[in-house]
Amino acid sequence: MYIDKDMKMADAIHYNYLLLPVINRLGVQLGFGDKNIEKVCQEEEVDLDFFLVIINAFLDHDLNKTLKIQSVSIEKIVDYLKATHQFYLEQMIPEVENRINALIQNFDINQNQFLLVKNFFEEYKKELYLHTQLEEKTVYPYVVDVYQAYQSHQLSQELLDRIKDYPINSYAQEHSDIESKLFDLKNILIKYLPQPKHSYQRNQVLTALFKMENDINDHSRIENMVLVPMISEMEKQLLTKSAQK
Amino acid sequence: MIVIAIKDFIIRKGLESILRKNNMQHKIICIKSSLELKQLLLDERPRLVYVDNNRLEEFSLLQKEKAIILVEIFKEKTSVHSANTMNHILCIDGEEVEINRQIKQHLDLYENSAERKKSDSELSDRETDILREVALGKTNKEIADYLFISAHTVITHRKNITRKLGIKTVSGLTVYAILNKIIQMEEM
Repeated sequence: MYIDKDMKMADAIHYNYLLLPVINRLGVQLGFGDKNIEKVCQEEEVDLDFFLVIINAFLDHDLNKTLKIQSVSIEKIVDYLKATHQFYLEQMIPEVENRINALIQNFDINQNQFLLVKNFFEEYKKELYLHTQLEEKTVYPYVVDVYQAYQSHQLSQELLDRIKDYPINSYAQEHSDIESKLFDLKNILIKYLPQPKHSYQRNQVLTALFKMENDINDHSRIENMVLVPMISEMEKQLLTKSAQK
Repeated sequence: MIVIAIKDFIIRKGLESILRKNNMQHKIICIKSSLELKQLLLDERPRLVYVDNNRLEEFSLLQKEKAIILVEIFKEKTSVHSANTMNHILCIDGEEVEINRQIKQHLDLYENSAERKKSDSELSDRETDILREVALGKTNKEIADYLFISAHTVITHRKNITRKLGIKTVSGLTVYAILNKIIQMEEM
């Protein structure tokens, strides 16, 4: 389903509650009454087109359909992606951690099994952190540089070399491992840890993991289907221009 | 995996959604051309394929693959079908009950095919050997040398292990191996 500007903001949330953190990150908080999306965005000074691109990207996996992706500013996408990183590190990771800790407090699993799960998640946490650092310190600044060069028609030699040596596509693979590990952890909890007396605590961990996975998949989708193609196209045009000189 | 190779968009989508309602557990892929099929056969091992009856030639590749159950799509009932081939056709002019009955038959064939049973069961002994070495942190090359097999064989085994267990990363496999006592924590 495509969400458009005339839909009530509240209906969008009813349609899929997983949009909650997404609209927060975009600068919209609860309490919007019966206003439609256009009105809420206007009042909160949120870019309407950008808002629609992001929430539709979150809901619908096929981005190519109707969205005005081209009109969206790169800086806004980068800001949004940074906000998702912050959300993972400050909210989702601690939430999962707390729920994993609750497993041992409630004697749901024995000490060794607990350590296995905990260490696995620790490792994951480190990887996720390194990944966000790589993106924020290397990839995003590069993206902004390319965008600005594209806008101003001024391409430095340094950036030109960078485009040739490490184009945006060379980072596209980065996400796969982050997603694989989460996938594995889910299967370990669902299939391979011995049966618990009560499933409740374990369900809690799993629900948190599913939510996190869903959000991370969305993050990759926006990178791989919006950001990377846009930057890739700009790189191509910049290279062609510099060759003509 | 189930493949739908039908030309008409509506029929393709319709069949896909009916199949999804009937069984949730299998991957379903729609393809349009024999080119896509070629690629698919390289990467995956489809077991049940739906194809338009007038395009069999285009998809002749399929008939060579013995393990594949091929179902032909007919727009309307014809009298030429013998009892033998009834399981391998789908006439799309029926009502819901009739269509579901036919699809049920195809899915039964699929579930019962020997190939599928074999490939979806537990890890083989050899795979368990490989998993053990992977969990201990050895590289493909080291495992190959240790077990006197080629690195290529190791990779094939690893793919099958991942498919069977639903675990992709080395650390995930290690956790699995410990939980199932394939390795001991002290060996790490």
